Amino acid sequence: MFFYRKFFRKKRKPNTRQTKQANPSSKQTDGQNLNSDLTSNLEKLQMLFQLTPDLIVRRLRIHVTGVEAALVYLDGMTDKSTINNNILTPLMREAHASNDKGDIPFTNVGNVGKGSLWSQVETAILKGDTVLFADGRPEAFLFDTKGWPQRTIEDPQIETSLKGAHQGFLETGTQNIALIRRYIPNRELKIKELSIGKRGATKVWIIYLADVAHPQVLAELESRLSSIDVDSIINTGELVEYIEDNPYSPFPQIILTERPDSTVSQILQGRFSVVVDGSPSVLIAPATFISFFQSIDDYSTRWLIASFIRLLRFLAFAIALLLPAIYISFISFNYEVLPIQLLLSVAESRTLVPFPPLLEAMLMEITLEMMRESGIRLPAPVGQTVGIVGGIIIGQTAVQAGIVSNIMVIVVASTAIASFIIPNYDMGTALRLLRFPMMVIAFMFGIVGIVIGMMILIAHLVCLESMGTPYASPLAPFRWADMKDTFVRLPIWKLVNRPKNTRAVQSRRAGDNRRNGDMQ
Amino acid sequence: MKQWKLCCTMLILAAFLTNCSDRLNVEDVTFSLLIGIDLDEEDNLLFSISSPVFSKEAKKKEEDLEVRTNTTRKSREEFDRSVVALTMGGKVQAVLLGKRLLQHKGWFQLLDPLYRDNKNTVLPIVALVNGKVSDIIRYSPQDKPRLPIYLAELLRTAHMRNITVNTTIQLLHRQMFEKGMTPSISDLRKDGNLKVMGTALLKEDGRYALTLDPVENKLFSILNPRRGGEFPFTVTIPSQSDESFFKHDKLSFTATDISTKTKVNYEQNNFRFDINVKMRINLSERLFAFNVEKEAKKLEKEIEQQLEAQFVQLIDKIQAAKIDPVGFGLYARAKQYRQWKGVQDRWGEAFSKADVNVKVKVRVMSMGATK
Repeated sequence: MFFYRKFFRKKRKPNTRQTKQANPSSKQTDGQNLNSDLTSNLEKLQMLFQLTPDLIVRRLRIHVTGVEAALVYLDGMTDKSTINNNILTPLMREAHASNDKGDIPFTNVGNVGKGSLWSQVETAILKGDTVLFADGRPEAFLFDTKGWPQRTIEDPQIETSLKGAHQGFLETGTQNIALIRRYIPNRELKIKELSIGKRGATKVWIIYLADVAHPQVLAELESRLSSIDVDSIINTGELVEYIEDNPYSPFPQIILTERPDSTVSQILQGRFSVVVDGSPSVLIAPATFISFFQSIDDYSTRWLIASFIRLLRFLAFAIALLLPAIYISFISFNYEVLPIQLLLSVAESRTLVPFPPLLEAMLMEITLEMMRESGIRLPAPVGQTVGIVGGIIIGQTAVQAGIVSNIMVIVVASTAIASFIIPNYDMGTALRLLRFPMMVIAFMFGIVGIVIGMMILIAHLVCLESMGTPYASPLAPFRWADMKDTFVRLPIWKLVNRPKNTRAVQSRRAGDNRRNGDMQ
Repeated sequence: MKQWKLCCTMLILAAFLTNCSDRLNVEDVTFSLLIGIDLDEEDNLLFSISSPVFSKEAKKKEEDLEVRTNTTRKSREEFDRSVVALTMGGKVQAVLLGKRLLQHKGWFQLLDPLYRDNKNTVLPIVALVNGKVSDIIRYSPQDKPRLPIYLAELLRTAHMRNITVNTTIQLLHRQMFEKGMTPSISDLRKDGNLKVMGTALLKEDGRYALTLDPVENKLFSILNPRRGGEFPFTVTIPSQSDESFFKHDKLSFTATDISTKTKVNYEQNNFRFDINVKMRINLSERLFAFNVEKEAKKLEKEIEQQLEAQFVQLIDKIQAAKIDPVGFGLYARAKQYRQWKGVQDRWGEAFSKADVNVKVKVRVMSMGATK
């Protein structure tokens, strides 16, 4: 993969046109102060927000002082009942005797700010705040009235779990932070707010435990995030591509999750999570190869069963990656390996197939990938039809028609099942892709080719880093202490220390909780 | 540009890699599952193979072929002239040697390509065919799986009850070159059905010496330290003889936990082997009335005598043929090296003069479910 990386290096040179890309409208407002005259302020506002029919300007007279004022907000981005009941009513009706000279007018809104620059006012309106201009004041009041259509909290769609919590992240960043904070009500849970994107100004929060997480990793993560120069970030997946260590690797180096509980468990291990406003997935870094095989269910099932299932996942990894390649090499090079009875039945079913083994395998694998992809796009009731069409019609009739051998169908089916066992979707897709080069190399060199392919893959894995921490840890560099939660999951009371690969500064996370007495 | 050069170089180098060219899909291979070597009436070498045919159109599932050539490797070329695909020896199940072939010295050298070419396997079982090899190769029984599978299975399972030995060609190589022992291979015969006759013992130079029947083969296997499988015996107990129509003096048992101890001495210019055989037996058949619970000792004594007598017969037979299939020579070399060194090149003769005593110790472990 290194030549691949070299090939693309040219494009990584800094973009010389980047200054032109900056938000042009900001020039109009930067550094300009508000006028104290209401009418001229509103005129300026109309000029700034042209072709914005959802901008509401409500003129009113403040009841207490009798001052002319205007309330400005964007329809749809704001919570109407808050504006009506908690801003308009107090301002227009209630004769409150309190200080008019005081800075903030009397309303029932919690978060009230002030802005004297046009740029502040503009941002506030666009973010869903309500702005109050009062005549004779060279500043505006910004009421937090954000409220836009939201869905309710639902079960996570991709990462389902049996015993984990049934709450998934939402599209609103603040809600997601709340979901995380509910698990760790601790003042060491720190949240750093950043804003990414010139035009979109997507809010991004880095969440971590200040006394556990390593400051160097934080600095690295922060510098990577703040150096991004784009229009806007729509999804967490986009952000990941900007900040990951090796974008040319097929392996995901940052965990994307939609589960608050697994996010929290990673934060508690000393990792960092980044919540992106507007995206229901949260990214977690630094990640290791092994962490993509750990599921939150592992910690809520009994440790023996959890260990068995985890071993099963590694087996499934091998099957999903290698089985078609092994099949190809067995029927084109290394048939001596097969027991005689199996060899005879394989050969018998192969004689009907007019294609070379690679083409046969590609045909089936690509059909499978197409079925899988179309299954995602189709609405749920039609999705089942695809299953029937794919499974029965293609599977059975392709064999009868002599296009593929029936052993091949078994191989493809087990590959598909195996790749679904991987708990992380991104790792599963990496496997789907890697299968194809493996098949090609097996077709060319047989088992020797598979060995070469695996060597390249392992060498690549060992080279990878995630936020500067080794990706293949705890296998390379080998850390014996982390093996407690790698291929097997030892009893919870054995997991006293945080994993070493997170580089946590405070390693102890539990005391000696093992119960003694007659139970042993 | 540099990257492009690197990519191109790697692609060009990849094109020169070996192993690309010898790809052969499984359906393009004729697996010779049985190899037969025999002599015809005019003492010409006959090579034959049996290989499976994978085709729906083919009525018969096997193709059998026989050619006259000088060497095994050359026979492959002859086979390739008429079989469906390319002949490969990677999956040979059994090597069948005609009895006529084994009358002559030096047949072993014919097997050379099986050892030299690493695409071939060293795991096929070697069997002597009492009769014509082509009779077996052409045999396609209606009520059995395809012949190579059937034959391999037959020989393998026969070994599980110690009817014959399982000598792979790898083991045969050792037995041929080991001075302290002589080869032993399976003995097959076809009259109507295929039948395992027992074990054929060969002389030091590979010529056929004699055949052990299944009962003798069990005793022979007991002496062999690498024994395995079941050892069912049926013996006659003389004290229980009666005059009835069905002879009711028979007793069957299965021997387990067999252990042997071999001691080697050199006395009066001869080797002396003392072999102590210990076994535990489980009765599986008893035709006469006997109180095993109380009189087990008496029964054990009689079984021991019977077995010892059979051992004496076996040893006499082997010594008369001047062979040593058990490998007593290995013991002699280990324990009496000075004496062994003098006779190592004519060990068969030296062994024939040796004094071999077999003592059997039997313990009845169970008498079965009924009294």
